[in-house]
Amino acid sequence: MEVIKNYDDEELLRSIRDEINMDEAIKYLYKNYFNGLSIYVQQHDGSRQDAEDIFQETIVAFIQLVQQSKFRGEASVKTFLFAINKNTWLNELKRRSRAQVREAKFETAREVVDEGIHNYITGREARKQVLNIMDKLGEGCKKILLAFYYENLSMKEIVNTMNYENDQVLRNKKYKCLKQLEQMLTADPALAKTLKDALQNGQ
Amino acid sequence: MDNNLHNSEKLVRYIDDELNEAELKALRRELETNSSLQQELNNLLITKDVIKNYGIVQKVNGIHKTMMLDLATDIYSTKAVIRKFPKMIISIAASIIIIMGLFGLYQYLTISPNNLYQEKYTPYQLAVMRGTTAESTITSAYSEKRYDSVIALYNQMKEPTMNEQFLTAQSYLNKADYSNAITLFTTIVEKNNSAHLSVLEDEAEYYLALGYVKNNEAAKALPLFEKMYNDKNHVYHNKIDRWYLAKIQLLVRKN
Repeated sequence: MEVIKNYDDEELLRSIRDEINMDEAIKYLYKNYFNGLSIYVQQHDGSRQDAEDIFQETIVAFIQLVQQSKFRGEASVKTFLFAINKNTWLNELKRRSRAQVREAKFETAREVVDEGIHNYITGREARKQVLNIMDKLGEGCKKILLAFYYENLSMKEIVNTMNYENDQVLRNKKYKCLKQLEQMLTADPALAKTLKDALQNGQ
Repeated sequence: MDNNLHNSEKLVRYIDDELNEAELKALRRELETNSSLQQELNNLLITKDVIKNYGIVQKVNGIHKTMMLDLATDIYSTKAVIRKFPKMIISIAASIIIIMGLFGLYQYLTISPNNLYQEKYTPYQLAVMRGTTAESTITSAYSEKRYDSVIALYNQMKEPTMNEQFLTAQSYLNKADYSNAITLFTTIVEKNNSAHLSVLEDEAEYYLALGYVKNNEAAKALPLFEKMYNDKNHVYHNKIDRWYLAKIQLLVRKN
């Protein structure tokens, strides 16, 4: 198994917030917290696969919350991850459940401490919609938009790595790709609202 | 249409932080009065967040697959190492564990205050003691094993010395009056502690601990025996080993 760097909480949060060695930080989260958190899901009606999926969602939510400065280390990373993991799983149980028994279980299992973060966790449905609309873009568009808005590369860097003729050609292409996405939202105001609530307001 | 295109381009440059001060002011004025432009900006901001979120999901997804494989491999490699042990070694190990378990069970069932007391108790041998007439009387009574006389003499004394208290406590031990022995040994230990003395201190601690064991108070004996075991300068250090401590601990649990 690969040797993974150790972090203290402060260093880990800084790494995620400033996007420094993100891969290392994410691997550290997996190595140190997956086994502990997966037990909760598996002890509460979940399978190993459920535990893996929920943990993946937990990590995505955690990164978002840290990068949006909605978590600054008020609690320990372990406690916070556990709360996200638990809420995400209980939400999923609620979604799956049609029995009132489960409803009651869901409501009683949710602790007051979790309420604070509950509102900031992006819903699973919203995440699926993110994947759907991104998948409607061509691969070229996805690469450009990710390079510019996610990896924060400059136009010059993208021109060099993606073999565009020049900066202006790339700029035009990026504009078209972004507008394509924007028009999907304009055409579907309900989708726009769901995504806005999930990604910006955290509901 | 051209104006719309122009505005859209400006909005994209706005979310990319590429507008200069004058362009920024002009756009903000335009946004105040143009609701469709405002709507377009809102949607562009959402698309920016969608892209970022997608990026995070993609990154985590890639690492997730690798890490799940690594974590599984880690578990399996541990299992594989276990599987590599020859069956014979596992059988021997299992036999040893069973024998140790049976031995532990035997110890647990047979251990008692009496056998732990008898294991370490030897009557106190009198050294040459010089002192008062009364003390000499107690000393000679003790050396002649007239324990009742020692106790009677002690009870007549107004200000007994620590030596006399110690011999009387030993006499109580011999008479199987553990309660009174404990009281006197405790008095000696406390006097030594409070006055920073060391008159028969180690001896009193040792016999006090044994008194506790016999009196079914192993929990009180344990710290005294631990002190003797840890203190190399203690007179009875060599008499207490780990095994005896373990048996005392077992007795504490059994009680």
